[in-house]
Amino acid sequence: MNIIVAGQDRLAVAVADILSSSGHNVRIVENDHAHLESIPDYLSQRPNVSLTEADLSHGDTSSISGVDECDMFIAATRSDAVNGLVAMQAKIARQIDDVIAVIVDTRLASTYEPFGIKTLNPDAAILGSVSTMLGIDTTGTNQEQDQTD
Amino acid sequence: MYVIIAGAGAIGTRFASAQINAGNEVVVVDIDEVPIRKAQTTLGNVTIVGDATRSETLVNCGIERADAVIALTGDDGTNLAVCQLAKQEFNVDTVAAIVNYSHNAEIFLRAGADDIVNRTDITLANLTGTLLQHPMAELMNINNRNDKLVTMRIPADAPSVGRQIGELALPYGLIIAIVISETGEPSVPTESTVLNGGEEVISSCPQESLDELAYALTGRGWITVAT
Repeated sequence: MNIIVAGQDRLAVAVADILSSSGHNVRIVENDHAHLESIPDYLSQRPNVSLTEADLSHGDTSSISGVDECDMFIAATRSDAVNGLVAMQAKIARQIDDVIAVIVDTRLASTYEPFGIKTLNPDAAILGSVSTMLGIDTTGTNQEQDQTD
Repeated sequence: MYVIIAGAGAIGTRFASAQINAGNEVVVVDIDEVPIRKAQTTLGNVTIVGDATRSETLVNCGIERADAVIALTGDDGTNLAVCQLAKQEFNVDTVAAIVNYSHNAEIFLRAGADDIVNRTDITLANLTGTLLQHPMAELMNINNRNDKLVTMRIPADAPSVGRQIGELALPYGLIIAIVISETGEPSVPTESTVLNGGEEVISSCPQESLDELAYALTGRGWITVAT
């Protein structure tokens, strides 16, 4: 599959790492040149990984080369707002099949789902793992919500 | 009416001030403390510092009793998130936003915004109007049936000069709201009002009839602005 990952922080890098090592073509898109340079060599030098410098903060996906051949788009910048906007562009304007957005605010995340966008909440995932580790059941408590603050 | 305004910039502050003057209750929310402090000096204590893309910020703003939520920040992602939350999560009656980049306009409408103001298109339309001798500009969308509020200045050599409004072949669905004289005096016209060169005519016109209106008033076609 051709997969575009927007963002460059640990989550985006980890996702790009996993996807590219399982054979997918991954393009990492980021607006900050220095951030792109900071992506570790082991990842950026893989033949199926490419880096693109483009500003997605205003939802302009047209500047990403290969966007129309993309099968999956993962919006994983640090901003819920940018991820939501870019994911909507990828889904509605570009009609990309699989679109995933990292959205920390759970109520906001639920508003993107009717458009067929899958959302991912790293905070909730970490909380879930910690809770499982400690054998605590957090479902139905306020913990889950508070954790996202 | 209770109105939540996201964005304490120049537009947000002036819009809030107009809402207060109209007797509405408002709260202005912005993530940045600097514009909020500035807004506070003109608006009083109706401001909140917070991230409007977070649901709990909007809850703190009282979104559960809000009649309208207007997203007026310079950031389309923020404006979109505010619209999404307001419309889909909190079922607010009226949700509107500024769209800073035209390519996002469609997405805002899909997200359920009741009205959008396309900043780039309006600026372009006004610039185009200002740069020409016979300005025509789209001021706003009146409704979702494609009626536009438009302004046109009548050139001195226009075929409508010296004629009564009732005599002109004007498009169906047109409402002339105000005529502004060359010296800047506004008046409400009637069928017998005689048009003069240099006057500005502000009217509500179906989009598809803008060309017809432009020819009737100015003798020239509507300047279409690329979107």
